[in-house]
Amino acid sequence: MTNFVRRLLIVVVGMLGALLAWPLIEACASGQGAFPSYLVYSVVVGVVAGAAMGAFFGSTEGLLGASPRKALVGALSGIATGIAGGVLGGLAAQAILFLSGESLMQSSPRTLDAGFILARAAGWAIVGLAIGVSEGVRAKSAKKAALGAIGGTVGGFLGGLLFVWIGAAAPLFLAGRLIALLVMGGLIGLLYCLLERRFAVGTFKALNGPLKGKEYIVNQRRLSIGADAGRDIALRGYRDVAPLHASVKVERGGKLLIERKDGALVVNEKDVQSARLELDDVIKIGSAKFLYGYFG
Amino acid sequence: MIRKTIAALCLASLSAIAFAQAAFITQVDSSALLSTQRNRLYARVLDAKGTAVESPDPASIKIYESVDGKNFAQASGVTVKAGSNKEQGIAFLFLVDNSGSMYDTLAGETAIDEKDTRSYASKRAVETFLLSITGSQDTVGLAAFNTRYKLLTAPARDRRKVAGALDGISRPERVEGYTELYASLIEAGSDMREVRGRKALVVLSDGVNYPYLKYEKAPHPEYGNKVFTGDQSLEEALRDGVTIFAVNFGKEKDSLLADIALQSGGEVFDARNEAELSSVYQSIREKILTEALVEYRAGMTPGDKRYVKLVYDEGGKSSSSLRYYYTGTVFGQSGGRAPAWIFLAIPLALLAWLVLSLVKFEKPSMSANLSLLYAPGAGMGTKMFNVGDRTVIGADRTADITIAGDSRLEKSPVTIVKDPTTRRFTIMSTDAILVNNRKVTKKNLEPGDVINFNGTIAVFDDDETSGPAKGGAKGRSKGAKRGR
Repeated sequence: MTNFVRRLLIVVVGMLGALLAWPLIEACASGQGAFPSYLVYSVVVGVVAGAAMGAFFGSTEGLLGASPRKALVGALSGIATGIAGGVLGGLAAQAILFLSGESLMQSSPRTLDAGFILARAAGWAIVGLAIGVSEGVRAKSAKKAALGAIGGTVGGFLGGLLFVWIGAAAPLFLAGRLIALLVMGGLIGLLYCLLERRFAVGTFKALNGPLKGKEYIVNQRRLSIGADAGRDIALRGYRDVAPLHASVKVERGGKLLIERKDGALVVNEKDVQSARLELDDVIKIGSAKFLYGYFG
Repeated sequence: MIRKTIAALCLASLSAIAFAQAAFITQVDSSALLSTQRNRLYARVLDAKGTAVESPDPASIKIYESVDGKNFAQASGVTVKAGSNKEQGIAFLFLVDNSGSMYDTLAGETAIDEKDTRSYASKRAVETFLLSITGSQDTVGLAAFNTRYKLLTAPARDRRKVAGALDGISRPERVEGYTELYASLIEAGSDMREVRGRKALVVLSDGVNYPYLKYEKAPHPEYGNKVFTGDQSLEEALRDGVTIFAVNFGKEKDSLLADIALQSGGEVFDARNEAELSSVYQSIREKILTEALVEYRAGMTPGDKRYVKLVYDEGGKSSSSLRYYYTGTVFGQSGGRAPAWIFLAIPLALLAWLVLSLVKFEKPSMSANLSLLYAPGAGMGTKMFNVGDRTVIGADRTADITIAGDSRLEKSPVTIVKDPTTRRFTIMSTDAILVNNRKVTKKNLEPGDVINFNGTIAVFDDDETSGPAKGGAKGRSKGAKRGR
């Protein structure tokens, strides 16, 4: 898989999450009057946005690795963390919007003034931030959370600006919210994959077999490698790979320590129990081979 | 337009206050809207004689809400609480003029004794006020202004801080003695932004806005060339939910200060001496204390702006007050009922996800090949070359795979040979080359082996599904040449 295809896929995944969320958010917005309170309304909208986007972002690794099972498991855990992020983000965004909106309203009630536009965009940014961070929480990776936060904040802010602009230019245009959500979801994905290598401590590139060409960017403190579908690097279709074959730990200073678990580990043609990896090291796990380095 | 609307609302209410029964919303507090769905209005209600009604009958107060200011719906859950400002306390910030003229006598003449100055009288009046509110929940802060604004102590329960800060107010140098009234109102409003509950900014001045920039004809030491207006002062007060009470302490009066105070929901007073000043301060507090706290359950009608109308019915007469507050939601309002077709987006998104989950983006090699991963000067690459029965990798164009400019390959080309019996591929070279970071001159290649041709990194791969090494392209690989 080329870098371009990888990035395109992540962007598409983000946009699909937005597409799924859109009709549900639209239904909430059109039925706002039926909600008992702003609290319940904000929670429900947060659940909808977080679950839809969390599910898709959570399934990304499985989709990239052509593992439907891993994608499904990731989607389910993504729903859980996405809901948590969506609710927290939705409530925080609404609280801040009420606060800033009220201040602005009392000095200038023109809701299309720059202050209101920025306040609403900031609200979207907070929701985006929470959804972006929730993917890092799901993956138990602080770096992924940071990347998600950047992508979510920028994507949400620009999506929010677009939403206000479309709303002002064409108030009756139904797809305005959809376009803004697609921009938000797509930008969360795009900024994530544009930045992920910059924050990474390295990449494992698969050199042979079914996963040939796939790159595993190391943005988390621990990685597990094995034949189990739930592993961070799930090696299906390779010979002699144990369910939990090896693990990788990021040490202080950014060095990677690879450790043998239930299978043989070969680094640069040498059987090892563990090894501190250097750039361009070749790692053999069962019949699978990886090159460790920076690619891009 | 905005100011005119607010002014109209305020003046209408105030004219009503002057002559008849009236109700006036002095402050809207929507800070509990998200958590409790309840909105708070601070309201001042006057009877037909113009006397403040401290405990208006809840049945006489009705609240209505509207998104357009025309069609109102009655709100439910209305509660009226008298003396809530007494219970919760009022946050006062005294903004005291400390310009040069404050060191004149009350009559406006040069003072010989400090005790004859306006400044001295204003300080003592604040002290008297502090003593009068002992035991209350009120918080008091103090700021002084002349050429510069200075917050001496933020509103706090500890009134000794204010008393101490009063002593710190001293006669300014000439260039520090200007009256930056509008700028100081803005700064004081900003300093009260984070304060919760009922907020009153009591500004005392003996003159007009007399800015440094205009009269010193030089950039202000802090504000530079920035010019502040009365409009900005009012906007800041409204933004921060602060009510301004203005006290003119002298013959000169700022032309806009009264408007600013009235439009912020406050009032304007004149005082000529310390006793009157003390009385004014007491009066301000008493007026605020007579306000009732009206709480109600806010509606959920979509819209960014919500009008709220308080109607006071008593003795067959009705009076009302109108304000508005912000009710926008993060994802905005809807143009109408969502059409059914938009729900097609759900199966569409799920179907696309399913398709993506079934697509294999990586495919194993079906024949022996050498893919170029990196070349110095050319960077990362994905070029792939077929590997035949005998494939020569050299530096000139006669080789099957050319890596131009490599002096070591010029002397000693590398050859990959396929054993027709075992179908294994072997790499051979006269000079040692790096395979998987180990120096070798000969090695049986496995799929995934990394070959380093003096910095040019290539990966050997082969079809692993049909047992030991299957033959690649027959004979010499074609179209595999690559220069750099």
